[in-house]
Amino acid sequence: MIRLLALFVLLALPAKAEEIVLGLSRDQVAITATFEGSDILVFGAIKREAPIPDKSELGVIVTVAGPDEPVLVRRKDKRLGIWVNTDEVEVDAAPSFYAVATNLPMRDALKDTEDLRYGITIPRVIRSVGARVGDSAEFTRALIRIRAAEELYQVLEGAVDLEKETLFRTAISLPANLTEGDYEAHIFLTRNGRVVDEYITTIPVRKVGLERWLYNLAHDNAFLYGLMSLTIAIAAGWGASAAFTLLRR
Amino acid sequence: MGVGGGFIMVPAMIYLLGMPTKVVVGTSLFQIIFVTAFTTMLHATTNYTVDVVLAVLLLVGGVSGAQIGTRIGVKMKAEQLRILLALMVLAVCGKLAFDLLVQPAELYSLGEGGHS
Repeated sequence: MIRLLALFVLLALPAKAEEIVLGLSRDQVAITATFEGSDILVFGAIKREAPIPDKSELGVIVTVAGPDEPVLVRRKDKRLGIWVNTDEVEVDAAPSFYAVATNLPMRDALKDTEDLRYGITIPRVIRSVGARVGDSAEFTRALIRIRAAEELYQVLEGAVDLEKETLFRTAISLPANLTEGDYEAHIFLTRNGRVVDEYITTIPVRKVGLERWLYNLAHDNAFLYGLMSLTIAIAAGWGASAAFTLLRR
Repeated sequence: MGVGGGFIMVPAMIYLLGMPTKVVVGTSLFQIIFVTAFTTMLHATTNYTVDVVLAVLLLVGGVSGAQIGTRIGVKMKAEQLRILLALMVLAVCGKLAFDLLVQPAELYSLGEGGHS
């Protein structure tokens, strides 16, 4: 009986046959005043002690997620002949940026149960509980639709290149309107849709240079910042007036 | 808030106070200086929403436009200025009404959460 149990435990917890070894093209993303978005190259290899298991498909899923934040989703409705915001749902936590790249079609790379467990696809990442409006799922879908249109949410099926079931690489493009924070890159290795290994790393996204300086000034010395803005405005007006007088002469 | 009430102040000064149109333009702008300066300070100190980089970009167009505008204003008659203002107010009204009456392509919009 004990022997059978031990065998069972051994079967349930197989030693990791395949493991991820990862590289990133950049350890940090810096947002400067002229930031126009950038690419992050995620590449790595699969380390294995045993020969490649055949008759099963190897899936590599790479996700990059921005910091979670609550989002208010509003819906317009026709009231007295005009379109106004009527219902709203607060989504408790939605990533400010989310990209998921796979080498296979999502359905082949990941089973639904595994998706539920690890929270990999976009609808599984967004947490919306306690919504007051009945059709809150519609609001979550709208959130995904709007963010996808802004390229803040990206599903990149087939964007991971896998070579000889060992080397993988993918490029994830970050848009210019990034939120500051610690971005998490997750790499999942799947066999027949089951996750066999997982690797997590953090990519800090920070404002630097002029952008950082302005942000600090605005938050720490708000009064000074306001005065500076006004000075710039007055100087610009006066400068233009002076320039045009010179031009007319 | 950014318009400084010019849309309402200018017609009010012309028709209620009976001031000459040429004087109204300058008076309205003079009054707007203080309103906008004050609201800028309020926004900067209370909710940190003054975007200087964006403002500088807008200023480039704004200040050169103002220079050209004043030159044109000198050459035009008061009635013509009034008609132009009326047309602009009507166009803005029309745009607002259009947005309210026509079904928007995207019924949903996103806002910042965590306040309610």
